[in-house]
Amino acid sequence: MNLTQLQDTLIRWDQKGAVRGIAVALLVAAMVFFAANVTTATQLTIGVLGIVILTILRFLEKRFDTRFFFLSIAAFLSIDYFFWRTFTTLTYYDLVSFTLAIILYLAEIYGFIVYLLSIFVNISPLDRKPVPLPDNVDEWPTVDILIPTYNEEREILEVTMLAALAIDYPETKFNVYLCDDGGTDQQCNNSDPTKASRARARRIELQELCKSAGSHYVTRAKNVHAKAGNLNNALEQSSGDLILILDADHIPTVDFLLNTVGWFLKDPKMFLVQTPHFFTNPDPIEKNLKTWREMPSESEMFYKVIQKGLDSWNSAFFCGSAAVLRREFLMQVGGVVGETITEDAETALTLHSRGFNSAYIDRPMISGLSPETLGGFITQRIRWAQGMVQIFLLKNPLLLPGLTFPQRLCYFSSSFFWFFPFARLTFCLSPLAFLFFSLKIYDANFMNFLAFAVPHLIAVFMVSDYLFGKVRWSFVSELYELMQSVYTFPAIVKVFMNPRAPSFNVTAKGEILDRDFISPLSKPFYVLLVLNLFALAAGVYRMVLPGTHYFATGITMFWAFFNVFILLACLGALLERRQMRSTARMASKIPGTIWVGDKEIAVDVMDLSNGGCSLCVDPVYEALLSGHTSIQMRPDPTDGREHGEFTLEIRNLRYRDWALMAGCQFVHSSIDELKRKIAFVNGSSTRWMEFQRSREKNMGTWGSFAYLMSAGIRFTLEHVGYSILGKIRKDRANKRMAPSAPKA
Amino acid sequence: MNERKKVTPRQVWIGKLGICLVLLASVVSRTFAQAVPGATPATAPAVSPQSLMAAPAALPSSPGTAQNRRSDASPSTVRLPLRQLIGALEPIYLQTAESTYTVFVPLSPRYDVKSCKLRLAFTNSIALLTERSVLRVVLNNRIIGQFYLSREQPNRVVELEIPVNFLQVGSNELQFIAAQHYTLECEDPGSPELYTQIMPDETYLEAVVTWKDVYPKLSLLRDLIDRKLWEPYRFHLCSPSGAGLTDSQLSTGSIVSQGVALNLGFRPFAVTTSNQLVAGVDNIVVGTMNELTPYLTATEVGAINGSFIAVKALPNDPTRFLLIISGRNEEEVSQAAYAFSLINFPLPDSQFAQVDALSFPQKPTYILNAPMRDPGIFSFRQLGMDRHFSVKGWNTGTYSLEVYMPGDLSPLDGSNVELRLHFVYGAALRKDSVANVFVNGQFHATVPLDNIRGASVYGHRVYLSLKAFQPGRNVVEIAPRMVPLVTNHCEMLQMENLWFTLYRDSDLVLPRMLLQTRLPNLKVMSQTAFPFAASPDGIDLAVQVSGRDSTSVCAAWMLLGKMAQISGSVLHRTEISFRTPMSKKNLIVIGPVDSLPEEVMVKAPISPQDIGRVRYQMSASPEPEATAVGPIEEILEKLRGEATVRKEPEQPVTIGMNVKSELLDDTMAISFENPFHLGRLTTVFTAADTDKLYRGIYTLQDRLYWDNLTGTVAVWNNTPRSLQTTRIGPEFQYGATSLVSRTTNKVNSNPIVFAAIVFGALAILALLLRLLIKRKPADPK
Repeated sequence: MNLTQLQDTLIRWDQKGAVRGIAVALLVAAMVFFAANVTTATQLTIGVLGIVILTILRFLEKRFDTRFFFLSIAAFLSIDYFFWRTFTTLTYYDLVSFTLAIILYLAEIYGFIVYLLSIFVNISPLDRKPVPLPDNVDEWPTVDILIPTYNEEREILEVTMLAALAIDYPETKFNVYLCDDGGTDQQCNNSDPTKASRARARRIELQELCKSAGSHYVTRAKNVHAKAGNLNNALEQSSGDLILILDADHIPTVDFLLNTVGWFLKDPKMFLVQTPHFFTNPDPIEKNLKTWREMPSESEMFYKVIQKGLDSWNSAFFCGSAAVLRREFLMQVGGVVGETITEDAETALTLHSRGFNSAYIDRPMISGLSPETLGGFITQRIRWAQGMVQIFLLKNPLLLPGLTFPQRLCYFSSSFFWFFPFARLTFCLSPLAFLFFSLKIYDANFMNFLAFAVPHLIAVFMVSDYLFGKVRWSFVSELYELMQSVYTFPAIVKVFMNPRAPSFNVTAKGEILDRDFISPLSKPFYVLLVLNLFALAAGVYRMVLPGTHYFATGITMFWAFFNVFILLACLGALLERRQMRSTARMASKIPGTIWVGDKEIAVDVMDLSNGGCSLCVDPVYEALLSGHTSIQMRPDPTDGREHGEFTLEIRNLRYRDWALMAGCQFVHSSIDELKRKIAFVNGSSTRWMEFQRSREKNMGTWGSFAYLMSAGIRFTLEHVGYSILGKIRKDRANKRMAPSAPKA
Repeated sequence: MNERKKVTPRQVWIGKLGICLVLLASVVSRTFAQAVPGATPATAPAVSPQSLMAAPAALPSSPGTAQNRRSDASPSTVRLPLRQLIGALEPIYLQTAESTYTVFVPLSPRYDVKSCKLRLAFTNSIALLTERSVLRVVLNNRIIGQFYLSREQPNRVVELEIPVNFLQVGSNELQFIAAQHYTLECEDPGSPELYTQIMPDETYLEAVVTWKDVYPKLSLLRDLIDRKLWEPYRFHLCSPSGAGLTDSQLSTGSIVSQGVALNLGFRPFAVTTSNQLVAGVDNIVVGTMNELTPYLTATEVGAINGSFIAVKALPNDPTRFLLIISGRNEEEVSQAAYAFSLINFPLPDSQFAQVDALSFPQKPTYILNAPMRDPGIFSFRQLGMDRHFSVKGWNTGTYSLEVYMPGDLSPLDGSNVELRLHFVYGAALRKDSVANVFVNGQFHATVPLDNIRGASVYGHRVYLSLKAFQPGRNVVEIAPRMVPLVTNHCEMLQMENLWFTLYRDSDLVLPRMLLQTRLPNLKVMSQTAFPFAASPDGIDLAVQVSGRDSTSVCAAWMLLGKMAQISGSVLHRTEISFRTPMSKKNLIVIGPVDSLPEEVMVKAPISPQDIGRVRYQMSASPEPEATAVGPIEEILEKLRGEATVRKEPEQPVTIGMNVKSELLDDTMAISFENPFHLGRLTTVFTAADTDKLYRGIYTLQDRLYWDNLTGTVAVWNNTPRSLQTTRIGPEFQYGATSLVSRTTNKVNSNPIVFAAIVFGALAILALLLRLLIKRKPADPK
């Protein structure tokens, strides 16, 4: 019997999950036996050998498919730890200690479950490729492109809409709808006359924009059910077979539909093809720690790895934008479902429970904007956290009928993840219990800790590095989660108290910050940092006392030190940097030609944004360029598309590494020219992929630690310096403002 | 230091039984009261407890009636050697500048002590400064003698008269306290020259005593069958059948003997039997109502309406008692005997009682020395620590915890016993202060007492290898050794801070143990009576008394009494017979050589006639227990399935001199696999004749013999004192341990092999999972 026959046999046996069920039952029985009977020496042997094998498997991964074995061993070591942790370390000493011990244990259990689910989800990720469309265009489905908006600026909407209109797809086969919730009848008749007049002006302005561009303006009477209601209103007023939903700032590439629609023809039960969200500006943490061009974005872990894992279990879910949905199936569930404030995930969950399929294509085909400020970032995350917790409470995937078992686990993983604030805050505060009050919250001796906990911790780091190393550096999760935890924790508690209470808050995009400032969100982090620093000092004091339990104190001090390290990075990120451009210049390397007067000069376009670009020019033309302000530029059709000519205004000339760089601004005289420019700047998904690839580098645990540590210390010092200087400046200003005392 | 005081289901049950008996006694009393003339007419003859008190006139005048005299009215001399008190022959060492050794001297309430003296033999260091070195002897906190420890006369034997009024009934604290110095200047109090030895074999107490009249009440039986007697306890079991005992009577006598033995703790006892009462010793008469007619008056016989126990003074000898165990039939007699054997429950405060019914818990937990078999957490309180242990000084006390391990505890078990100690200690101790932890006298761990500010420590963990424990009784000792912070030369030492208290809520955590042993092994029998008393009711044991005479019977009863003492329970369900029992049980055969059943002895590895093989032993080069010397070889060997169990250390090799020899005065024990049932054990006790067998079994009760039994064959003699043991014959694995225990042991014995299996299994699991869930990329669902 060869492997394929064995595979067939197994799959036949496993039709109702029997083989997997037996395997899991055996594994659990073995683990119970383990926890109850294995001595520390045996466990130490297992732990050390396990880590050695994991290391060897990492080296062999390029030659052999070791993924399942690697993850099985890592899971085993962690399960082993948790049995030990559960059965031997929860000792009752006193009520306070025991209560805190249980809280810490629950936080660990949370992490353990998320970790195991993560292994499950990502055990065999699916890297799905686009399916080509048939040659006969008549067979192509019609598509409605919906762009929901509430309060975004016209400029943002114009770019997105024109990019949507520039998509490569037969003109007769798609329509673009601007779904405006900022110009509804309700908004136009607002009791506040200023708001009402602004809404009416907005409606007129956008109607004219749509008319001139060739798209449809849609609005409604009332703002009910927020984004879900807005989309459902548009669904009633359109009729395409498929729906492409784009957030107001999500500029699509021209190949979007060509790369996604094919799956709907191939799989008649397909309800969703989701694509990644790609951002052309740094999020506030990346911006403030200056990591954007070096470190993969926070979202990439989800879009580069986790969604592929979810897709392998037919659980890739709708992320609210950059996704194509089949109208027929969507209407079967009444359109976009809006019981929670994460309507996207909820809609996907509902459709999956009806037995429909989803797909995920890992090719960035939209470029969007991250929130610019920490306030906007936290607002966005609170909405996600509340929405996913709502799903956990109101539509718990473990109980919802119709889902397959893997789908239950996948959705459970996605919603349960959002309880991280509880775990993060517990981990941040737990060392204080021992270092300040000698409370015994983790009852273990050194050898047991070495035998059980250390292999588990090493395995966790190795798995994290194995699964996400290229797209998520070590400790970045801790940084982002702690940043959010302080504010999302109370929000989650509110959801628990009233699951239907949360309302949809729109995330602000495209903000411009004209100066540096300390984020108003900083105060809780000062408190946490000071507490952990005092805990470290208490630990040092304990160390010099005779009779100290050095092991327990040492471990807890290490823990407090780790908290300090993360908190320093947080403080560094809490010094908000000014941001003059709403859209970042994205690097590129596109050859082209410019005409300066009669002179034709070869150039390279070095970076691009909707506003302008940088051209690399031979320095011999410096004098010639200095005499002109307006030039014509034609990029070469490197992506297979002819873009035509663009008019540019030279804004500055400067040298960079011996090359003459001309900073230019796009000038357009017609909407067609604008559309071409938008298609040129934003239309190539290949460019976005290359940019992502340029950031994909694995720093390793220590490299990441050193990088974040240095950034944390540097920017925390700046943070402190800024706050002191800010206070001095304020005092001086106060003095100047104060009336001078009369002279005696 | 501590006594095991249990509150077990046994006590609860016994308490209930006691209440039952008291109630019955009161009911019977009321019946008797009703029978008093003038009260309601009754069919039963009128008998009152007082009538039993006046029993001498009612005692049978049949053959064997006790002589009508006070046998022990005249004073006799009794002697109590120190070795008997300390249970060892090794000298007592008194070391350091001040050293104390304490023993507790029992004194029976049955004695009327006329005079008493202590003969003390000791040897002191010749480096001592005579004028400052003193040995004082303290009895119940009163100094009864003091001696200079003279360098000129280091070996001394002295005699001390002990005032009789210094002695108290029960327990007397006898202390030997040595103050030892080698210089008038300041000195090292721990100097090795400071020592005195007391010789336990040559030191003894000697008293002239007379026996007091007994006060016959059932509730006082515990004091009458008294372990505090200085001489071995003797009793006579009077059975109307005499030597012609039935199996049932044999069994009943065994239960009674075990009851007596249990009440004596570990003290030896002697039993005789006949159909006559015997003067000068306590008598127990056992039989049915009809059988006892010759011994009782008609009125007394009429009082027996069921299982019946009564006690009265022995006719014509009020210093001894006569215990009557009876019933209307053998079943009731057996029940009464068993009720008596549970002697440490409170019998009613009357002369007699009727036992209505006995019921037993399903799980026989009603035993004294119950071994701990199941894993779990046991508090010290549960293990007999009745109060916190608190000591002051640098070398002044040790807490001893008794832990009973099962007889089939494997010596290969690599698990750890964990102690979770809760204790406090004083401030200003020097950093090298410690509390040492010993198991069975051997050092195994140290707890540092190194916090200069003192500390209250909760749950300090100490791990003790299970290999340090032996089957049966184990003593875990915690010995604080505290040193003052200031110990400069000639500086005043502050000792008042040297405090250590161990709390009784400290815990002992027992792991899941590998319960599997290799037999035969007389050592295991001596430690725990295993496997004969593996079940506390003795259901797994059959005894054949091959000699049918009364002496052999008594020897068998004494042996079973010893087994009961070791196991702490009455083996009341043991099958005991004159014939060879064929049931699938462990077998004890006891009888003179010429009575031993051939079908049993055919499988014995040695015949009693080959005793020469035991007598003539020689040492040979030791064979290695295992041959794999490196980890790789060990793994390969284990993978090949070889040497999975290391061999036990061998006894000295015996030479096969086929010298025909006779047992002469020796007694012999041979242990081997049961010829009728493989996997069961047979042990034969034999001697040249019944008298020698009786003496041999009596001698065997002495701890000097019993505790040193080992191997598979033992030969011993009292005159001269000798015990030879050897290992002859094949071994077999005893006990069907659970799969979990076996697996656990294998896992922990071979961690690398186990790890290889685990990761191999994970590799297979990973492959299966991969085959199951790996999909072709980009396929639609």
